[in-house]
Amino acid sequence: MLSFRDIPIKQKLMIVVMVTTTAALLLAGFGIVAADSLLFRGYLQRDLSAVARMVADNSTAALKFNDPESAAETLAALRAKPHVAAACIYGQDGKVFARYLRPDANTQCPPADVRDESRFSADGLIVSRAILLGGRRIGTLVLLYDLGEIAERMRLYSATVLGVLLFSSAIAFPLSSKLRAVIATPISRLAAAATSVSQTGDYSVRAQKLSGDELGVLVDRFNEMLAGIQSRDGTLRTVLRDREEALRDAEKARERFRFLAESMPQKIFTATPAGDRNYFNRQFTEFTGLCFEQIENWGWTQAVHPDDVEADVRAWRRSIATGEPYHFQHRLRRADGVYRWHLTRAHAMRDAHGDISMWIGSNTDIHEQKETEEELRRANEDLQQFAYSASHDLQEPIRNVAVYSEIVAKRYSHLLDAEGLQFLGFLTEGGRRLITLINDLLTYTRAGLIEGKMTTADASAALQHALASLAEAIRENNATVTYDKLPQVSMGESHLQQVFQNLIGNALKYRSETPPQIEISAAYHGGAWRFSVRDNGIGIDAPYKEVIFGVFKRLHRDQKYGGTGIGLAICQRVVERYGGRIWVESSLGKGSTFFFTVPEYAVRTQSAAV
Amino acid sequence: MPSEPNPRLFNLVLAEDNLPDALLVREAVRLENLPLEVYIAADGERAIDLIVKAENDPNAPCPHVLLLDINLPRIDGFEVLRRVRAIDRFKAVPVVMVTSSDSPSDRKEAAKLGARYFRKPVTYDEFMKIGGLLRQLLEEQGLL
Repeated sequence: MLSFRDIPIKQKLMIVVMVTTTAALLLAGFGIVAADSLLFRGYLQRDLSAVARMVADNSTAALKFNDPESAAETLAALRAKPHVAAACIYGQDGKVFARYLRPDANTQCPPADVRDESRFSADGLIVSRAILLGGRRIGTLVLLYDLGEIAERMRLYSATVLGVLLFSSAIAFPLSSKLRAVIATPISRLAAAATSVSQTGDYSVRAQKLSGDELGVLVDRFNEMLAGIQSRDGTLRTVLRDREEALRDAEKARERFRFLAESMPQKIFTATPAGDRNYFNRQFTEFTGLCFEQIENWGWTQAVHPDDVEADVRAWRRSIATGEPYHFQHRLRRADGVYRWHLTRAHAMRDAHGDISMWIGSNTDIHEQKETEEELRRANEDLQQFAYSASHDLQEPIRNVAVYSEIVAKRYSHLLDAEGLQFLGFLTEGGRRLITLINDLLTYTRAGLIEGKMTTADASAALQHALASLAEAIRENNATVTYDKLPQVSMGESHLQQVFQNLIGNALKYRSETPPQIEISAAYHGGAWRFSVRDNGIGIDAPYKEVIFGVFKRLHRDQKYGGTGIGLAICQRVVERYGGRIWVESSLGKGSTFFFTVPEYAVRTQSAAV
Repeated sequence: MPSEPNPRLFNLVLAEDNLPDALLVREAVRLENLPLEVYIAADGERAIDLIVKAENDPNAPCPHVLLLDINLPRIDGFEVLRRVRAIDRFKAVPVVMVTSSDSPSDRKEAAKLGARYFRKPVTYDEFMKIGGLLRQLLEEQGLL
């Protein structure tokens, strides 16, 4: 059964109207009846007291003269008042002296009372009145008035109230039916609109506004709310659609990456930011003969050569911790058990916030390259060894020739004629020259080798050392050397010193008539430091700008310019070994500027220890 | 030219397979007027023999200074030096490596074994400077 709360507003309104109307009418009717009853009783008491006084006064004589009949007649006059049920006169002795009893009233004389009073009893209203003669009480009159009149009035009033109630209800019911529509209809419409929205999800529905009262405000707010939701719903749909598109794009990108990875000759892998490898392309699994489940996360380490695995894991962990690129050369075991050298590289991919989202890496087979490098290294070592042996073995006899021809010149020159002395001079000079050539050749061989581990050189320090070695020549030539502050570069310091020494030495050697002015500076450009050594010397003619860098190439046979012609060849060999380049800008008689570059991260094209 | 009689002569052992160089060392000693008797060993083995004999035979000459070429037949100069240093008595004896080599690794090895380094020069005057070096060593030893 529906409770009052759950019944429709229309019915609720009707019930409220009817109950309120009925209650108001009933309360009004009850009030009127109660008030009338009280007023009427008061009026009755006053009226009956007046009648009693009159009858008592008229009965004084009859009582004085003991004439009951006369008294009875007086009492009988009360017949005119139909509701007086009994009237009795008591004598001084307290006995009934005369009485009147209404014939139809089944009643007796009410008991006499000594006090004058009127009171309501169960039988009706009783009024007592003293009968006085000369101020002395000679009897008592008692009247009994039945309440039939009051009951009649009450019945009449009740009937009237009921009638009014029925009549007003009959009017109120259809009237309220009409009026309740004013309130219930907008609410019903609003409810219908809300139901429609909730059932269809269509936020474009609007409730119709029927009034300007609170309901009208409610409809307005409801519509505003719907508009708000509709707009947010639209935004949300757009966002969702964008997101779906982004997801589709990401999926496409993933597919493209997979395709790319699978079609590349290299072994490709990806890893989580924590370093767990979560993808290997087919090339990796086919090479190692291991399935994905065996190599995922850290399983790949089982394919790394036992001698390399510790350093490899350390390097990988360091990259994961720092986010720096991972570069490592290690041996990977092929399915047939043969280890092959690989270069493994991995880079961190970062999201818009700069956080690492994943690692992408590759393993490139560098076995052949590595073997070639090893062969090259051995060949270099052999060459180096040969150069030293040759230097030593050749120098010893030549030195003997040089020193002993000097001794002969010192001690036995008096035994020789002019021609003999000239020939001895040729011998001495030839020996010295051969020694210089051998030493230069050795230096040139060494210039092609990078000594020990890759180091950085303080170019300022290298220049200072070079200047110290050339101090005497600088002083002799009255030369001025100026230089800027020079950078740190990826180059062996002794090599850099050698380059400076040769270039500045040349500037001093190939000077013009004016005292040499030499200027050294450095500028960073395009990932490399470019050094320049500028002089005001004799300059170089355009056709020879390339030739001068050749081994034992000299432009001057003049005694004035001594040397073997290997200095610039050594410079070129050193500079190129570190991935740089050397050249000259000059014109005859206007001085020369030698330039050489040192890449910021020098490329080691060859490695060997001296 | 008779040399002045010297109350005390010290012994120099020179391990050198190249006679012209050995003669130059001898000339440098003479020019510097050093109280040194020069014993020449033509290879590493003979140099060791000389030194071992000095350790065991009280009559054999006891070297006060060693000049060692590096590139010696049979046993090279560094190996000779290592064996000499292994003998308690010669742990502190002054040694000069006399060589044509300019290799940094040779210079390093010499320093490691507590030896001086003298690169053989290409002129007579330069070569004679070894005399001054020998004088300095003898003075450091309190022998002069």
